[in-house]
This record gives sequence, structure tokens and C-alpha cells, in this order.
Amino acid sequence: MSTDLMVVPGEVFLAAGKPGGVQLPEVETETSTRRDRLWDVIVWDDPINLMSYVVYVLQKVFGFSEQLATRHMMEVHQEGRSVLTSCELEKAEMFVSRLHRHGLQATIEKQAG
Amino acid sequence: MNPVVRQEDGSLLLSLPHAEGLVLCSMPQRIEALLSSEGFNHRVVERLFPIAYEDSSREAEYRKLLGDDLRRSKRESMETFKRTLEDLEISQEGIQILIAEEAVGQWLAFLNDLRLYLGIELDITENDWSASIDPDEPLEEEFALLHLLTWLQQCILDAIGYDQDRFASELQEDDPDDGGES
Repeated sequence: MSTDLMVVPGEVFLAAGKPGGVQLPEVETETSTRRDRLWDVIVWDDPINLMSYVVYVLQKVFGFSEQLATRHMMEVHQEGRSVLTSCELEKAEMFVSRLHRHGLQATIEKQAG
Repeated sequence: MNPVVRQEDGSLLLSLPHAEGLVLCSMPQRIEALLSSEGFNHRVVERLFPIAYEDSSREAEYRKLLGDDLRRSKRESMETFKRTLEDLEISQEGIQILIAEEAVGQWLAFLNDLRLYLGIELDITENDWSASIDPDEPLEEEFALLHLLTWLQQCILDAIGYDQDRFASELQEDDPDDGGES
């Protein structure tokens, strides 16, 4: 998992980890969080949505093959949830927004690790 | 026989008896108030406009960014549904509705929103809800409406190649007691 370092303009830091080097403070900025980390797009089970509709939506939103969309649908049905993709935050929000438009319950979670 | 027939140009021709067709025409009114956020069951609103994040500050930021898009999208689906119904043809046999190919996705989304709305109102929490209807249930009419909309949504999906029975049979290979909703 990558984290950005705070860089102070005008100051010179020696490379961390080398003799005499200074360990820079690890400051996680909002920009680095949004840009660098991977986020899981998760779809949740729902007693109303039809299985065939879920497959249709997954193919439409993600371009999945029917086989892959069916596999995710069955995982949702049996396990209660399925991770559909892991991607940058902006993309994850776009996918979740499109799933919500179609009536699927979907959330975004920061990938573990 | 499927009342929805796919035409050569990709549009769908839907043929319904008069009673079902008239019920369908009354559907937009049910959801119009919801999209205006006035006086509605908050659980319905939560379901149609679900959260994207558990974290409340992230969720607030997400809503600010994409909340209006979701509301607009749902309104557009409803408007497409209404516009299609304005051109329906009535004959002695029943009602015929032509759904343009580009409108099929919005029809499916709007039917699904209606079904979600009814599902919340009826407090449905189990996948096998269709098998557990009590005929003495005071909301029997709402259940009947949910069945009609479910049947119609499935007929449209069948017509465009998403046959529910095919997916149900795959599922039953794993769990023979299973039903049809995801």
C-alpha cells in the first residue's frame, strides 16, 4: 500500500533508510488516498432484484461476459455480497453510481492491506 | 407466451390486457412524489438512494458530488416510461406499447424502482417472498401489483435474452431449495 510523503518546499531531506538519512514523516494526504489506493466495489444481496436483472446490469455496467456476471450474481445470492472490481476511487464511485441508478445496492470499501 | 416481442429494429412490442395496461399507466404517480422527497417512507428513500460509504463524511462528499445525478437519472427513467405510454394503442384485444430499443434500459430501471418501492412498503426481507403470501394479508393488492411488475420486468428480460429460468437452474444445481430473486 503506497502512502505519499509530506514534502516541504525549500527543505532538503536525505534519503530515508540510508546512513545519516532522515525518516520523513509519513503523512497520508487526501489526494494520495484518492489517487493511489485501490477501492473495492461491492454489490449486496437484495430480496427484490431478479437474478436475471442483476446479470443484465453487471454486463451493462462492467462489460462482463455472461459467465462472469452470472458468477458474481450467484456469489451475491449465496454469500450476501460480491466484490465486482478493485480500482481507483474515482472509477469506483462512477461504478457505484451506475449500479445505484439501476437499483442495485453497492458500496465502496478501501481495499484491505 | 411472452407478451413482449422483440422487433427487427430492436424495439419491444408489449401487448397487455386492458386492466394490466391501465395499472401500468398509473405507476409514475406512485414514484413522482418520492423523487420530490416529500412525505415518503424514509426506508424507501434509503433503498432507492442507497449509501455508497459506511463512513459518514465520505458519504456526504459522495452525495454532494453524485447525489443529484442519481435523482436526475431516476426522474429520466420515469419520464421515458411516461412518454412511451403516451403513444400506446388501445384495441378491443387490449393495449399495445412500443418500447424503443434505447428506452429498454430505462424501462427496466423504472420497473425495478417500482418493485423496490413496493418491496419496502411490504416489508419483504426474504428471497422467497413470492411463496409466502398470505391471502388474508391486508396489503394483498400491493402484493398483486408487485407480482405484475415482476412478471413484466421478467418478460422484458426474457425478450432481450436474459431468461430467468436459465439462471435459476444454474443456482439450483448448488441449492435445490432456492428461488428466483438475487
